[in-house]
Amino acid sequence: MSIDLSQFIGTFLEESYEGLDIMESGLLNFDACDEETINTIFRAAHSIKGGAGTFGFTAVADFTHVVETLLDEVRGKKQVASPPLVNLLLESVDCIKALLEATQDGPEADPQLISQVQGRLEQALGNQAASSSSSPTAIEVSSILQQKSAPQLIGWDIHFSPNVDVLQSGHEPAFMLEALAESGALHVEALTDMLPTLYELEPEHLYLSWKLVLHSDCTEAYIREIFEWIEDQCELSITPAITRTINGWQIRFVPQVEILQTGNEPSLMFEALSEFGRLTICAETEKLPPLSDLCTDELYLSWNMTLESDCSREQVVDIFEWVADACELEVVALSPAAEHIVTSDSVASADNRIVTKEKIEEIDASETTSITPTKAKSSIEASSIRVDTDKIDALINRVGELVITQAMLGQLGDDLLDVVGVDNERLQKGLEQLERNTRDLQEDVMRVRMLPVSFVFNRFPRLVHDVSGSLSKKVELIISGEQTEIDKTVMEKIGDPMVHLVRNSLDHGLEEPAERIAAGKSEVGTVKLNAYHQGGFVVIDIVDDGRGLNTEKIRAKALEKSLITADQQLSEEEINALIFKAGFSTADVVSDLSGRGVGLDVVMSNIESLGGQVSVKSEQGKGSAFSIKLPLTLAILEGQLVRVHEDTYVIPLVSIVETIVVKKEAKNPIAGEHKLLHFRDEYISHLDLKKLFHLPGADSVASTDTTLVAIVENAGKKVGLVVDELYGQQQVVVKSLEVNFKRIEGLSGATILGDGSVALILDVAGLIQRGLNF
Amino acid sequence: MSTENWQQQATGAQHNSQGRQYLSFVLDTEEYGIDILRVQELRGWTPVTPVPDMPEYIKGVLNLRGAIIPVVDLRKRFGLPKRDYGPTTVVIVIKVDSGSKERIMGIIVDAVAETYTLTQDQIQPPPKIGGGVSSEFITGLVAQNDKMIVLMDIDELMNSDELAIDVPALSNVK
Repeated sequence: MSIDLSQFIGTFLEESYEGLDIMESGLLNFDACDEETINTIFRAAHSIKGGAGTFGFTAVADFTHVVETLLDEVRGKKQVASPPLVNLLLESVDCIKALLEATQDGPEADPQLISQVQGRLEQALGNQAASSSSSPTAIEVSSILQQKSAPQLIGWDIHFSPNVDVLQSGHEPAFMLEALAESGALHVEALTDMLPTLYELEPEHLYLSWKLVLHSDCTEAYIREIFEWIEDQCELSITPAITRTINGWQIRFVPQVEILQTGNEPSLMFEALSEFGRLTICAETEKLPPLSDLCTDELYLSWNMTLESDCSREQVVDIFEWVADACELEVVALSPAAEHIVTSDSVASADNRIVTKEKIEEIDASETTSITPTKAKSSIEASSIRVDTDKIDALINRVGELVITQAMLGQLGDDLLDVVGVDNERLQKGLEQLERNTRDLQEDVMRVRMLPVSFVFNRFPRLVHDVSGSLSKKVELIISGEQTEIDKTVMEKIGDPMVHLVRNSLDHGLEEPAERIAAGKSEVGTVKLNAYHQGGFVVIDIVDDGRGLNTEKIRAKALEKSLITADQQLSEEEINALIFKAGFSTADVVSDLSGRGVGLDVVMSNIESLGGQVSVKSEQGKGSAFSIKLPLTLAILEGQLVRVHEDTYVIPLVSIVETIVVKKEAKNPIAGEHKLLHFRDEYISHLDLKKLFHLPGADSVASTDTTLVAIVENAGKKVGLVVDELYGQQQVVVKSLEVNFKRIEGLSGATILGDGSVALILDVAGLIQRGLNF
Repeated sequence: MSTENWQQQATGAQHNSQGRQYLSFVLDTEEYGIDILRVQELRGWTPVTPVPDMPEYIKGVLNLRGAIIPVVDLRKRFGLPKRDYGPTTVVIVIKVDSGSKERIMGIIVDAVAETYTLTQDQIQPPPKIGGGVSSEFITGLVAQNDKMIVLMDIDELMNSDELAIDVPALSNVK
């Protein structure tokens, strides 16, 4: 009967993460918000909530529900999408992500953060409830009610949340509350959701915030005056309080201490209540005994709840039916107005019903309109299918095998060329066709793995938004070429280095607004991300119009770290390249954004491990431009096959500058042994692979008259690799040595040759590193 | 096949036949046994591609239908005298549980001998011995037809020393 839902969880999560991405990008574009954007965001939240509910991820569903409600109000223009609200929603997106990850053995979502954000969301909703009834449109809706209802109470809704360290500066919130109470009746509700566990509680910290309702005819300024001293150490919102016209019930539930022993669980009742509408729960802890007297199966709490719902008193009471004789229960209509309507004025009550019904219809209508575009969209999406990457990898492997088999047959065909009695022409033709088809097939399959680089770029609007906010810099992010396709594996690994570079640009590159204006630039700095194809590579540029690299400072720093010597003459480019050296950081102040000890050298080594290169160009005062050059794919490379001793090795063709025959005279001895090659006005060190790999015959090289040297280059450094023989060039399928073995220094992988044997692929970057230290 | 899968099978086999099946092979004059469920296939000896800078017992890597697997010469691993590879030389392809993942590896042995079904009470605990085969690789000893069979812990053996998975050299950039 029951369907095993677990098989769909993966899909749900994938879709949810996509939904969150949609929400995030939608929220970031909120400045130019149109209804479609809000609808998209709302739909994404809605489907996450729905899915989470289905799979029993209640934490996710509950949280998303609040977000969705808030979004719905934004959609219905009841709430203004102010920047703080957008930020709050962005934070909620992070929370949902954390909650989702927690469902999948991820790290536990920080409950404090979640409840804090949820609290603020609810507060935003609450504010709306108060302010919307004061807004003209809302008054129109409820004017019929208000005319007949009890006179409006005049007063103030105050939300007061001081900073945690406010007590240390000698302020006492209690005095302020007392001062408030002098001007009229004050209803105080302390919000305890920030309260940490007992172990984490710092006695000098203040974890409470307060929701106050002041029934007084004082002015807002009067209230602000009371809080004047700690104005900058708290969040204070003051809104005119008006009688709520929302229907609902104020419930006071005081269970007996033994209630738990009869198997009743109050939290379940609250859940049932919350199904009727929005439930605010406030627990009273006065009866809580000292820790030593605490008994685990006794209940010391009682609750005050506010339920905003159209349900009847009977429905509420029914929920407490099982515990009716073990508790005190008071159910009072929420506001005097509502009470008035429900109890004595049946006409108004009817009106009220109609209003709510209209509201429901309104919601229904908006729901249907939102469904239609979804359907239209899904019909477009039907042209793509979701495939497990493992399946694609298996397919790529299989095609790789086919390429090898094809190479093998080609070799066989060549061997048969001279054999008499074989129809060579037909055989060759067939083999050529096979080769062409295999290549095409391979390219097609490779393209399956290719994804637009926007998958990486998409995270930057958010990053720039957050970072520029915390740095109080104004930044415009310009993204172009995001449709450029790149291999998924490359993409996954390029994210972190790019984040590093972009942060660098924001933190060190761009100046403060004031400094920019002084330099005659626009106050708003720009960071440009651009991607494009160049040969067999994808190039990603990160360009900012900030202050650029300070060559003098870099030079000084490099001297200080003894990366260079004082008498070294360096060109500007050479100086700029120093920032990629290990142990180099010019940041005067270590900020939490960049400069935490992980320097650009890590960025460089990460990019080089992908077979890519990174370079920087800079003009002082105008900005700097980082350029990352990456191979299209890691799965295939053009290789030069060489023989070293008895074995075949592959050198990536992109790294080879030139292969030359070197005469003995061209080798210049240093200290007798180490040899430098004179090559096109450069002296480059030369690395004997046999010696490096401890292969036999290493010494014979030195005595021969000529040696074959492949000059390879990486990151501007050149080394000559001594090889015994050059074979052909061919595309090789890169296989990892790590899958069944481990990473080996000097090798980037292995490949299978036409005859089925394994050839090792040399890691040029690693070899150069070793060659220079040799 | 995933690690869990064959582990399930291993326990399954144990329950069904009240014992485990072991494949035994010969090294020099000695007979060793390994859990047969770890054995993926047997191959005749073919030359492998040597990997530079490896200890002598790691002969190199070979192409197993597209996968690159390392091959270990057990004679050399255990410090036994060298013998030329001949027609009976076998590469046993085994599945090794390396903690975070399962690796496929090959071991070169003189010859494959037999399969045995052994119950737990037939297996005696390993003695403390020194030498090439340190006792941590041995799970037990079994007497069969006046011969002693040394049962080996493949996971311990194939994750030891140079065969261990390296910690990735490049950590994440933050």
